[in-house]
Amino acid sequence: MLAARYRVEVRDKEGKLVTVLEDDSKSFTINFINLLIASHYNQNDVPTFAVYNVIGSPFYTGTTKTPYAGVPWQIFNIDPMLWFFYSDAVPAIWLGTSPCANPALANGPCGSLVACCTTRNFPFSPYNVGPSALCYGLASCSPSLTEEGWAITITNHWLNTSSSPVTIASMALVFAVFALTPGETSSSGSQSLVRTLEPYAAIIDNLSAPIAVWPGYLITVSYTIYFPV
Amino acid sequence: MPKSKVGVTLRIEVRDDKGRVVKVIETPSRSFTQNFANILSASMWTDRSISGLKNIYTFYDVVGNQVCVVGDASPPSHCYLSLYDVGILFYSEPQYIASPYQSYTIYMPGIWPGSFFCPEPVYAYGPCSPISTSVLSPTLFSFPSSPYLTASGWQMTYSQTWTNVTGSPVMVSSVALVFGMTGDMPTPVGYLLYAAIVDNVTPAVAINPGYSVTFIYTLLYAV
Repeated sequence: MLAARYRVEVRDKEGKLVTVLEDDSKSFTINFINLLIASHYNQNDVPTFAVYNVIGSPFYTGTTKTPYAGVPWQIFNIDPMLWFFYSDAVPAIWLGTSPCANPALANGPCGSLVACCTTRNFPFSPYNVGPSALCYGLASCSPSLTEEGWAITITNHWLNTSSSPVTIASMALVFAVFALTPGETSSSGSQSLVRTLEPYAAIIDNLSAPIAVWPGYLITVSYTIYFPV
Repeated sequence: MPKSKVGVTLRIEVRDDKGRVVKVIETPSRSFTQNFANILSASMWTDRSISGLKNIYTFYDVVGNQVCVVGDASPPSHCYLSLYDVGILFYSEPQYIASPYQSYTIYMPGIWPGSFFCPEPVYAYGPCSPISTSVLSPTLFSFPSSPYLTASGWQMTYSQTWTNVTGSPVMVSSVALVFGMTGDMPTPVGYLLYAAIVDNVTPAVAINPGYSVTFIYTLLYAV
């Protein structure tokens, strides 16, 4: 069904393009496939699959184990307005410093996670993500019909705000779904449900060659998913 | 940019009234529909953002009704139905289908046959001239239940068998992979049916009385 390609561009402080990588994506993940299969069912018979979020914590399809996602809703969600409400995570392409031994079975980019979030705890900060950019600067707002079929492109810009060069060796396309966990029981006996946003990697790739991104440099990463026509 | 290496295969098996295979066609599938692409794009955003982006997504269901995904905005008057957002797009079971489809020519997700070729499958709403279930009687739609990793990638297989229960031959010229979709909407109505893939069958296949035809879509996700 799906073929995807990734493209990586690095620009220096003056905006000059210094590195370009482009290749076929290799690996839809088992976590994505499990969520996809579960989404074929209704709430009464959805199978229980363990799905791991990007940091490796499990949640489950169906409702028999917690945290549970039921029939997973919006498995392609990259809406930053939703993500920012629940976390400091930024959709949609996260970066790691090492290649993954088996990307299809990984939970996220491998090595140290260096680009994912708005906090200053990571070397990379999101650039040009927000309501002023077309579709938040994250995606093509509508599919386009190309020679390869319907194309949907998802993009992130990350700026190295640290004082050291950072090597990028793996990348992941990260969507998010909700999971529910039973919370406190009230005096009337009703139990609350705690809703958490679970970012998960749908595609993970090792870069064909690791890339060094120097302080002040901007890395633009994109995935284009093709649906044949 | 090189051509995509993975894709979708459509296999068609015709069996006689004794269950013997009399014809097999296997061909690359050609056409994810514009409707599928639009529904998928809409499903990336919540209702609030769809409004904020001022981007109304529209698609057509299998009957040809225009459905609009409008976020919190007011739907344009030309929309048959409006949704705030899209939540589910691969629903494959016969329960909870919106009532208008329950009296339609075919009434559940599956691989639907049509008697005409589609001029442009990519823009079709379903198989062209869908064949009634009183002519070709369906088995239940079979869809993936667990991950299956092959040397070519994750394989997802969909199949459905239809038997000619009339006394005359029936020609099948197009097929469509039909899913249910839903989202948040002002008044929940159940799953709407739409065609994710439409293909012409060339040459058309004749199904004699008592014969059955099985349509198998195999989708591969690259690994």
